[in-house]
Amino acid sequence: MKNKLASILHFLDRDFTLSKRQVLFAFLALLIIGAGLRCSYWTMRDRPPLDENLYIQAVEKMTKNDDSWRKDYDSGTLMPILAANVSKLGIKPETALHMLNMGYAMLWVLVMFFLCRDVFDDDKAGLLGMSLAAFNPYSVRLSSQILREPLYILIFTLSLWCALRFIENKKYYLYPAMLGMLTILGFFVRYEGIEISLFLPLAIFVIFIQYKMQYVRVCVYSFAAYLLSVGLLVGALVNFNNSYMCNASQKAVGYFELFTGNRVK
Amino acid sequence: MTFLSGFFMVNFLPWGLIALSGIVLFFSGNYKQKKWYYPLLFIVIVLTVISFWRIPVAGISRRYVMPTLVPGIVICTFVLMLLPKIFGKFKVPYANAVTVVMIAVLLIACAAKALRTQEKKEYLYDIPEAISLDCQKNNINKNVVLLVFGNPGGRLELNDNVDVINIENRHFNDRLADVAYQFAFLGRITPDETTNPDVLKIRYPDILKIRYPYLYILSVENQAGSLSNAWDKKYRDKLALLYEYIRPKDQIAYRLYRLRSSYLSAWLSTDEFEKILRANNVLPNGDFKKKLRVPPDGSIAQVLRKCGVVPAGDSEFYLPEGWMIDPAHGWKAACKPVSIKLPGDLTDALNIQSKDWVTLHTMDTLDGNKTYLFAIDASAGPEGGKLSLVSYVYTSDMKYVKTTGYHDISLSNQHRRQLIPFRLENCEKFRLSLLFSGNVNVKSIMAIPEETATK
Repeated sequence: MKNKLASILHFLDRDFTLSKRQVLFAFLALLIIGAGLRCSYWTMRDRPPLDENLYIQAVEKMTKNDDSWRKDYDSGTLMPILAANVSKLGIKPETALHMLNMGYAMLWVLVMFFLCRDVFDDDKAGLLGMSLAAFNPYSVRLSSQILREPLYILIFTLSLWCALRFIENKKYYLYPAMLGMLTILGFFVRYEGIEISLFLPLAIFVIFIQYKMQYVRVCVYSFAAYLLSVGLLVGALVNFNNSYMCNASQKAVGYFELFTGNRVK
Repeated sequence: MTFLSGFFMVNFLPWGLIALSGIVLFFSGNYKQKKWYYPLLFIVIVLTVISFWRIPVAGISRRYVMPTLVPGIVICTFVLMLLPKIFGKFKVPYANAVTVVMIAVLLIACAAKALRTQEKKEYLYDIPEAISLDCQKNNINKNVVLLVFGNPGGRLELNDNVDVINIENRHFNDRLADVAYQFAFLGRITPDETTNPDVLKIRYPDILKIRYPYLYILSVENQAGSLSNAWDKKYRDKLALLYEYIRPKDQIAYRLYRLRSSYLSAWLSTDEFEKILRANNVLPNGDFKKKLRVPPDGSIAQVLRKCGVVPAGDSEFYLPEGWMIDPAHGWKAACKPVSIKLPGDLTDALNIQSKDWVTLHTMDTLDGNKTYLFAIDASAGPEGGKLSLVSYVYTSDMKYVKTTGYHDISLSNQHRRQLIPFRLENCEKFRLSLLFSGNVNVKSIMAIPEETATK
């Protein structure tokens, strides 16, 4: 018995080096386990909480082109709009919302691999971070419910990854532009998403204390790319959002509401 | 402390501890030469900044999840990677193996926490059943309403005849503060009592009682209970307890109360109630069909011309009998033009169009210090319009004394009957005024004293 335990400990104590194939295997295994945990929780649920009802009703009304969804729904609109589009393919709104949420959650688990791998430049760190994400109890619960958090966490993580790539690679155009788009997407999911706009200044700050030079150029180029992408995406999303309004006055109200977060009485 | 509390509230405790110790390790070690130092520094700054900006906005709440979850995992990864070295430093045997075992235990515990058995919420099934049985027992064929105070923690599968109003408050985490806030909501009047204490009070529960024979109230409160007593104190209405569930783990009580409406409008059919309205109406010429010709050379006509009123149809002015425009109050000479059309061949309602406020008040005074039930059938024209009910107190020679209250009527493009209860206080006698702005049609207005509107 003692020998067996010692051999197990010896096996675990060796310095792990993982081949590409082993990394891929572990990666796929973690994805499957993550999905399994989330599906298990989905089947264990008793009744949907109140919040879920709000989203389901909003998507049901959107699918039927009923504008009254705006009366009861005053949160970010991206999540129900995406679900309504999926629902129009013939899937029940509730199922569409569940499927999308699971999809966002699994994408998040995947992105966590790249985030942790890129921070530490190590596949093992990527797998470790991914396993923490796959097993995270809060994430498991959130992604099995109909809430905006899984989508927002995905956007938040992608933004963090873009900012880190910007710090490491200093690509002045690509990553700031992606950050700009993700800021707007985050805002359309939750109004707190505006916090993602802090990532670029913070990343520039870190670049500055790391290199202490060229920061003016970094600032100018990256902010230009950032603002351009913000402007383009705002225009595109507002038009997309307003395609759910019937007439001109409702569209005007839609613009107002989107930008201010206030519901027009 | 707020940050720590939020951090541990939303994160699995061992996981949160590892992440926090990671921040300490990060700043205490000399890692500047490591490639990951600056990316990790960025993560730590993001975690700190994003967590702290939420404190004044959101307080300690589940909103901490997002800022702590993602950066927390990266920091946690950093610690778990450092563990073999830390264990090695303290000469722990099998440092790598111990780390692998720790990670395995952590992940199994995470999965167990995620899939822990859910609390069975029996009350979510019992409450709809209790309402359904109560309606059957009392032969209620009309819709009833359920007011939900606080978050019951799940969806109630109610019958189609139950309308639901959720009165949820997001500003307080304390349940007692929540209940207090909800009372402030229920007691809310239009306009705000604090800025204009003399206004007529519209009582929110009364608006519901006019429409629904039964009001059901679901309250999430502490075991001692606060809603029933506070309701009695504020509205002098006894709530009847129908159902109670006290959660064993924290003694939170889920109570279902019932309130019976005394308003006839909630119990009678529309036609039956219309008869009562017409029989007891205290307002003159409620459908504005009786016209009164204003002498063309009289003082009233002169004032009307001065104020820019345009005669409808011919060159003569007509006003609804029993009603008078009020040039002395709320009507400036500059506000013109004003068009008044009375019900006739072209229209079935009183139509007033004006860019500014126009006042039409009753000639006779009504008794104050009592409650009236007003029935108003009005709509707005295509350009939109506003209509308000106002009570003015005048001296005997028609000098304005004070306004004892007003209420804005919500208007749509279609005519619809609205019932509004008014408690008229601080005045012995008052004149009811209608304030018009924009393009407004009023088909009828009636008022009956509360004693004839209730049983």
